[in-house]
Amino acid sequence: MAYTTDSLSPAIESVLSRFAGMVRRIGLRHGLSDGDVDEVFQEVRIRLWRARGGESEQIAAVRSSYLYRTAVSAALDVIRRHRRAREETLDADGEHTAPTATDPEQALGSSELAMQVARAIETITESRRPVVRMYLMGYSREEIAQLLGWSEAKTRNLLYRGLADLRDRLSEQGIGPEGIQ
Amino acid sequence: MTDARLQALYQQAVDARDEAERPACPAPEDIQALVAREGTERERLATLDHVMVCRACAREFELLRALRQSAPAEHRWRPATLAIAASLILAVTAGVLSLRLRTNGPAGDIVRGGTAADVHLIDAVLPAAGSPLVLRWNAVPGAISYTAEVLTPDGTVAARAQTTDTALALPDSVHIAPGTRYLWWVRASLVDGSERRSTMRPLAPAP
Repeated sequence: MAYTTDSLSPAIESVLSRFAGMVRRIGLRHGLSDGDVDEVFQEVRIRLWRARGGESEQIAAVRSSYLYRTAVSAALDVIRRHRRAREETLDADGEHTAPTATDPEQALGSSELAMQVARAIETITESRRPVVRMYLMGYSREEIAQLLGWSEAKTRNLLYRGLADLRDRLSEQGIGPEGIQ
Repeated sequence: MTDARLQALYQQAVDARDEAERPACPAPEDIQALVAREGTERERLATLDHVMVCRACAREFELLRALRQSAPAEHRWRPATLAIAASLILAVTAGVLSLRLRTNGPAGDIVRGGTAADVHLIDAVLPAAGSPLVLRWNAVPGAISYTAEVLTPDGTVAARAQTTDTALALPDSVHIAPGTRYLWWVRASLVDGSERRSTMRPLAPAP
């Protein structure tokens, strides 16, 4: 994707590059694609250029809070665009295909266990469930606490109780430490 | 079963879920509200509960979360053209006058609409000719500090200060240009780590 780097001053490009670089680094751990980040920041560049009439000296004077809000607004537009495209693709393709497995029998057993885990999570206390889901998606306790504005102690308490609930439910179904008993 | 095994199985289940199985996805604005800690905790947890079972929403969430986490703090962004504004913010912080209206002032208990748990802006007053502009808001139960910001029309932070009181006076070093439509708002940091935010209001000093 080509950037209009000649439109913006070196100062603002430098700020945007650092901002985008940090977004990539933070999102990398949870699978955020460079393509998404590039798309958002390209949109930010266009908006800055339009908002300031192309006068690079003025663009250089924008503040970080303004840039952040511009980036969020651009990201929301990118998300809406992706959703529309996804809906159109689903409409056009009808049902999508499930991922293929190299060993169908093994995949079936693993898949059934995965579904049992997913169903067991549905039964745990509502206040603990989102925290457990977030943890199982690979987010750390610190990331959960930061997102929800909770103390470390509250987050740890809810998470551990939620995981204990989940293991109890699985145990009731005969699923122990090694999987299906 | 280890946490790692549970994580692998859960992520496998999320990947295998069919589009038709999932309830309707929350609006992108709801995911942004989750990331920005806006709205009630119940609403945010409901959004999170969906996001963490939907790969498409999880991808959107991660984009917005990474943006939020990367939003540069003022002190980390110091292009030459921003140095004056940055020094202004420091001047405001250093020059904050504590008025302690929360305990002594008549306006401390005023709540206009909403609930007492929210931040409500009361007014911006000039107590006397030539005196500093004073911003006032209500006390929020459980608040340990308040951060007030004055923004220029393009969103630039013209002044920012943190206080434990429900009012603060802008020092003389902050010049409010006549005819410019500034905005102001307040964020309360609560003892449980959460935040409450006021709406933004035009800065129109009452006499």
